[in-house]
Amino acid sequence: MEKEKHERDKKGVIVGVGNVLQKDDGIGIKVLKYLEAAYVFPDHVDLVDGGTAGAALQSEILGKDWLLIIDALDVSGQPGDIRMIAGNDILCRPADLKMSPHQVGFFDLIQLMELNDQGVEEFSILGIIPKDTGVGTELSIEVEASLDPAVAKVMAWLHEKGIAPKKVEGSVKPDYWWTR
Amino acid sequence: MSKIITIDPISRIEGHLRVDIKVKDGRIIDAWSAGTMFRGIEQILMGKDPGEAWIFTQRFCGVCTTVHALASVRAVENALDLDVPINAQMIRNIIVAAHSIFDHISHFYTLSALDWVDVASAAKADPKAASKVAQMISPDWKGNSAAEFKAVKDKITGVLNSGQLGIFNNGYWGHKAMHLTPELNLMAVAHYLQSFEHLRKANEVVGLLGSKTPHIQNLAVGGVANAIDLNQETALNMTTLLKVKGYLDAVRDFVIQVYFPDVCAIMSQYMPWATYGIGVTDMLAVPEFPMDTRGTEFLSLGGTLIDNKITAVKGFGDKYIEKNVAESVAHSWYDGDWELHPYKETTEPNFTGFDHEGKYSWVKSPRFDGRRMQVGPAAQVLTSYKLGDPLTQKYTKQFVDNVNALGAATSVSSAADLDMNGFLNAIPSTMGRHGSRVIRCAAILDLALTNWQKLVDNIGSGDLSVCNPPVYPKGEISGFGIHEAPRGFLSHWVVIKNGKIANYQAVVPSTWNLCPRDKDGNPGPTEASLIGNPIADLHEPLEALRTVHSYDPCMACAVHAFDPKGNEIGKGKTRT
Repeated sequence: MEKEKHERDKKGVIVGVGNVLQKDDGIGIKVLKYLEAAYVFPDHVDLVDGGTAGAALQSEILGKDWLLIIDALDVSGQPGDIRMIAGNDILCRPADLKMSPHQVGFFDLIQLMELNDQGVEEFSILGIIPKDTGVGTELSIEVEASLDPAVAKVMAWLHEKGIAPKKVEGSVKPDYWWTR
Repeated sequence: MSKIITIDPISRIEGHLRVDIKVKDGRIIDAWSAGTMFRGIEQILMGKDPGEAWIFTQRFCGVCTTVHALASVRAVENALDLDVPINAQMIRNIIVAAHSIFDHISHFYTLSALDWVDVASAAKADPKAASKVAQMISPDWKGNSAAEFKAVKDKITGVLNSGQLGIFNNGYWGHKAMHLTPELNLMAVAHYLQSFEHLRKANEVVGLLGSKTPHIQNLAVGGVANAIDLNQETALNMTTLLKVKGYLDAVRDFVIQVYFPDVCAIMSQYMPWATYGIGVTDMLAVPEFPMDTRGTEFLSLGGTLIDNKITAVKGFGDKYIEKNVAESVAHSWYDGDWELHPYKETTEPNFTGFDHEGKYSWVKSPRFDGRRMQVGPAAQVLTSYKLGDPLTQKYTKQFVDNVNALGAATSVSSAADLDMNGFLNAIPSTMGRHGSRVIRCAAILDLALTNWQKLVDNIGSGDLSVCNPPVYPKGEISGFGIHEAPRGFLSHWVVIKNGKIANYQAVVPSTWNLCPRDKDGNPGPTEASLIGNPIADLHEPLEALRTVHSYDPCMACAVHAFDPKGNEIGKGKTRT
């Protein structure tokens, strides 16, 4: 009999999405770049800079047991507030309910995968409420301040799964190329 | 008595678009197309290194990432008069092909099929009968069995019963303008689900050559950054190249056996749409898939068709393009009332509210020698057909033959009797745009394989060069990059001063097609093509969506923008 996979061995992917050219909308990418630079992740956990893409992320998600999206999320609350939302709460809503500009393609993708029996077992969103999504590469003060708590939240979420990425020694130098 | 209906936002497109239509006696008599969000993303590029612009421009939009990267490096190369090694051209070309194929398949099945396919009707189909019909249309496709169709029917029924419609939300089910049999509807939904796997395969090609997807990392001004070494694990080697070929072959099977015949089948049942949606018949397309280092020889042709007179665009740097493109803001929310060349344009927003008589869109109005032009696969297919491209002619004939056969099998005489001239005249129409897209997609798959072979042969001959590094001179230079993108003619325009970007403009396909009126009051291509469309039900203006979607609008980059807020559902709002 096949033994059920242990939670900590399940394959997962963390996808940062957002537009780094539109201020706070880029927070998901910034958190992802920080995670990449600050921690060493086990082989069965992938990190993906999803940028502004939707449907093109299929290959990255296919075959994974869980999916964590980090994104700017336009829901009620204060700028910089962090929300962890179960994906199913979002999938119940109409497809074109817009909470995030690049969401249309991305959520279509998740729903299509579900319909093709290729859906992930668990799907969560770590959302950060934006203040300003105008043109620019800088974050607002409130959203910038959410970077550390967001990283801590991702780590706590992973720990609950029994996954403990190793902190990199010394100073962390994330590749925020868009701010150069 | 006429009514104006506002459709805002248009759903199942990228970005944010509003369309107003004036309807009288069941016909559209006037139309306004408006990009409703502004972000002038080009301003971020001012003062930056021109060699890095492409990394930024490919984040304009979530759909057409690679196209903006490519147009950007071509613009800088043009300014520097820089050649690109053959290997780099081939690698770029294969990425262009894979991206275009991805885009065309997803446009048809994901973004526009629900305009023609009734999902609720598919749930009533007899899977065995549907399988029989499908096997007539594509005899060798393994995904057309009765068992497969039964499984899809069960899935649809499950979704309908659950009330959580997800991707099928906003379909106009049971609409008077839906004409397919339940069996054809079921076949189309089954193929929609199957298309997904092939989208992934097309995208794997972009990832394998681009080092990363969704946003590729392998480009450079002067070439590509892929190291080629057939004996190295970490470089571009034969294993990777064979994987690329395997994906292209698999996607080709799907396009030839499923996507191509599906479009023929669906369109054969909607023949009046060969007469609706025509509007602007002046066309503009540019050559693509350069085969030499300078960009003077191409596998795919393009040109202008003005008053039915064809003129070829010769290649990168053709002055015919450089001197004739301009943008006007007569009806757009920018300061002033100018028409300027892209090197000289500014982007100073000035929102003054929606005014049907005055300014009403964030989209500017591009003009070619003062004229409105239709761009996109329709323009590409029609101009290259007239320029004598054998591959385009072959697939155009195949399209007409398929429509004839399906028309005969289903007793639709207008489809059975469609001749080549009739179809060529219908290319600027709603049906013609869908037909052209699949004709182009089939041709591109052949071209991708030609490029693949040339890359392998060239590497085999011992040429491993991939990049000619740029040197930026003192003083001011300017250049433009052209690209026949999935949605049509894309151009990036750059002014470089002492090695830094001094001005940057992107003139994108959806701007050409979805633009507002110009200073003389001439409606843009989409506006013009909506006039005369039937509207059976004022509250469900499905027919207008058919014509708008046939352009494959991508408003995210048309105004370089997105919609940061809003909970609207895209249904028509009627007012008198």
